[in-house]
Amino acid sequence: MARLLSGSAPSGDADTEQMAALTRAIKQEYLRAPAAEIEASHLEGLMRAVHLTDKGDLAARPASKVYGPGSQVSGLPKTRRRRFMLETVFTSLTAKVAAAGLAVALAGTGGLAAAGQLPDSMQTGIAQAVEKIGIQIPLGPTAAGVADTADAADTAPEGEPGAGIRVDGDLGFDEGVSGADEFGRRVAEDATGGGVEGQQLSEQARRVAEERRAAGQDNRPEGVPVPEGAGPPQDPGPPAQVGPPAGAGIQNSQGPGAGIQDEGPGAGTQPPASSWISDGPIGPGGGPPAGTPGGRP
Amino acid sequence: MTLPRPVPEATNSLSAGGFRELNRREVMGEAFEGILAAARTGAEWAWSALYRELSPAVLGYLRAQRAREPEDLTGEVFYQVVRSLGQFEGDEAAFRSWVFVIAHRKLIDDARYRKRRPVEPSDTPRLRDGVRAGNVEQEALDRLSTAALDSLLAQLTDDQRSVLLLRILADLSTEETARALGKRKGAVEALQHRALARLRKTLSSA
Repeated sequence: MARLLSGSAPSGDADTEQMAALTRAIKQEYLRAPAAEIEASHLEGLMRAVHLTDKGDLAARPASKVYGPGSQVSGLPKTRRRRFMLETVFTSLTAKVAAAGLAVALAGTGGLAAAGQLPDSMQTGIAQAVEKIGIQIPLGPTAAGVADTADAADTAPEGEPGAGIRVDGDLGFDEGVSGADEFGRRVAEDATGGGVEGQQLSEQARRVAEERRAAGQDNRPEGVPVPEGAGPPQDPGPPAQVGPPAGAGIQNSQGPGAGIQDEGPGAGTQPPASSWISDGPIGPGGGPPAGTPGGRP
Repeated sequence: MTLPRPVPEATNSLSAGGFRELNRREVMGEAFEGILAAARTGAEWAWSALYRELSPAVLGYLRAQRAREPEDLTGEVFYQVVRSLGQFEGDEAAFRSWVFVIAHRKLIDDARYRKRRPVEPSDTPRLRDGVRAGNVEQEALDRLSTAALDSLLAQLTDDQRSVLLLRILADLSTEETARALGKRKGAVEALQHRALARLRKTLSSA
């Protein structure tokens, strides 16, 4: 086979000789040296490649940056990517800080509002606003007094004694006392525990009214609706009625809703302010105990 | 340093067509080691010797395999040899086998490229080879001979043709041919047997 493929064959074998002849023909046909021009071109290229390789340089530069650091291959230059990252972080951080500050402000304001510690006008405004959605928070100091009195006037049934005007000061009314029921309870307690007499209360009420008129203020607290049939504030004079009616606070004996009738100066002794606040038991029906001047017999 | 013996001229016999016919023999022999060492240092004469010894067989193999541009592929084969010479270790036979491994792989790449971009082969492959013009009558005979041989080899499978041409043109052994094609020795022998049988049958029927 080797001789056959080399072009020689044993004699006498036609097929083998034919194959040997074919082998020679293939060699003769294809084994040709390149043309001189091509040979020179090839050798020149080889020398160029040899010299480049000896110097350690690549014969061809890579077309891409696949051999570079991963950050460069990824696309955006470092400066642009860093700037973009900083902008993103800064934007998100600013937004976070603003949101946190707003949340703190709202929480703080809400807490102060719930505790009634905000300034008067702000407290009143917030209280009125949230009241519309069913949230009850304390009103401002000024508005609280008006609201309490307004509530007392509204809640007390018409014609019933007790729907009067709340008086503070020496009588010892607590700040924030509201409602006719509370007032009546206190009156009953006081009567049971030997509290102030009705005459004493009237005296105190008259004194307070005088002080207010001297200061240029109306007897009636602000916001209190004018009862029916009630006239302008009366000048100080002898009281038409001594003592409050049973189960009621200070009241005009001439009828429900009447203004305070001043008994005149010096009528009776003035009970101590603290005597109005009584810890005694509440009498039956919440009214003043029996035997109290002005009360039920 | 002792200079290697100059490479003896190969036995060339001019055919009537003016083309050189090369009879392959181990012209380098004992000088191969010296030539290879000089080539590693970049000696131009060493590379010239290696090129002239192997370029005809490489070019012939690529032409017989109907490569698109056999001369260009030949240049690419030797360019790869230059770049990869540092990885080679062996004698002349191993070097020869190694060069044809590179040639065969270049051929496969070229075939894949042609599949993606089919190009009609020229009707006169002789002219593409850049062979010097000679006797017109002889050229006509040669052209026919070339066409006949091309037609004869086209009847073989790709593996059969590769085995036959590497054995005939590159003068590789069965083992070296197996190494160049990435096949087992037994597979190469089988391919060779089938290729010759096919050719014998074709010539007998002609």
